[in-house]
Amino acid sequence: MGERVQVAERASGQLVEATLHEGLTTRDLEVIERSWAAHRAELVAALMGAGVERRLWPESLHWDWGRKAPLLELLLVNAFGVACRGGWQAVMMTKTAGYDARVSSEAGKPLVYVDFVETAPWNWTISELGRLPVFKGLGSVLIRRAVQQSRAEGFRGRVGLHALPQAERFYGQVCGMTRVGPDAAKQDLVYFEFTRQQADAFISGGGDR
Amino acid sequence: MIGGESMDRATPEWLRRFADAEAECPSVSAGARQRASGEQPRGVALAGLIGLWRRSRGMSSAAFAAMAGIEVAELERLERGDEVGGGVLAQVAGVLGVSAEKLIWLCGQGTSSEAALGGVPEGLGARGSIPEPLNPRQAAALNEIIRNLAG
Amino acid sequence: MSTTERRTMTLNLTEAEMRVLEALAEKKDLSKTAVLRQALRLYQLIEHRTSQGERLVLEDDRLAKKAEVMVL
Repeated sequence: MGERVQVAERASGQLVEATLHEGLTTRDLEVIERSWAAHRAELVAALMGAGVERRLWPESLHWDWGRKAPLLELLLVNAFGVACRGGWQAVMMTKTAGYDARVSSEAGKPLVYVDFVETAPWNWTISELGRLPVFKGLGSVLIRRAVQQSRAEGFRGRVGLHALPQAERFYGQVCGMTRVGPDAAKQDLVYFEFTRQQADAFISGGGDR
Repeated sequence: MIGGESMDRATPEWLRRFADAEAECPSVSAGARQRASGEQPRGVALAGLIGLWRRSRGMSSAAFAAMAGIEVAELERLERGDEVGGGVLAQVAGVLGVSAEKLIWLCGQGTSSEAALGGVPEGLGARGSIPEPLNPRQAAALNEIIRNLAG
Repeated sequence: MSTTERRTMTLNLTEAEMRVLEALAEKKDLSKTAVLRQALRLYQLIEHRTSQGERLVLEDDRLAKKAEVMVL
């Protein structure tokens, strides 16, 4: 069982029905990685074959959701996934304790921390290979779910995350999150945060873009 | 109600708007540059390559180590990303049929002018002693990687 | 697995404990129930990590002070 959502199919331009599952299990994450690993391998081969510089490779190419599965035994960890057309299209892991807001207006108040989020390799845009996503909008659907989780927890929509460099534009310009800045404690990745007002604006579609 | 506290469903307009904007971005990935554990990626690349190669031949860790003429413990160190001697890497390269110099670079223990060779993903390795066979797509990917690493 | 199902329990706290709970709820802008759920999650995390041999350490960069926290 899961929540009915829609995602955009790029080729047809249509919105298609999908299911957003909450409470993914260890087994789910292993199934996801088995499904995605072959596509990661195929992309490595294609990138190498095309001589694409390493710095331009998708930055989450090396991830392995199966290795993140043990975290699920913790109460503070939740995993969500979007499935449609018989496959897992995107996954997100969140934490609901131990993370406080950093933006001054709400500093010190708890938030939902997005520990990991990634779409399936066939949903990546890789311009160097001329690859376009099969489904679009998966990241938006999952971040929307993180905001909803934050509200349900009483965190009023506050969400924080560390974006990989290739994703900074999405979180800053598309979602409208505050760009707090590089975080030396997290590999110098840029930390982004939704304040309560920004989360409201994102959900209502009036984000700062 | 949009923007309310309920688990409201996104409207088609919202979905299209964000889907189009998101598609202009190269990625939505958030989390960690390398592995969640913070380990260095060099072992990830080699573990992935060895794992794929073993699976393509249905070979256990012990069998691979024996074929390479190294101890199983050394193979495990390699797969964890620990430093190993160049001699061990050269023996592994011999089994894989790839350039020892490029393999050493892949492991982060040397330099290579071919920067595009790094980063075989960690998700490719088989962890069991009897690895699962590769599907055709994985086999093709392995062949392509080996071809790129060949002398 | 549903994460929305809830079970109810009665909690007996001393006056001092209730004062701390109310202060935390005020400071964190949370309900008292939400504070206790946060506490349980963090306690499980600490217990999980320390049972694997890790230590819980509090560090103050300004004072260059570091202290190990005992977890019972």
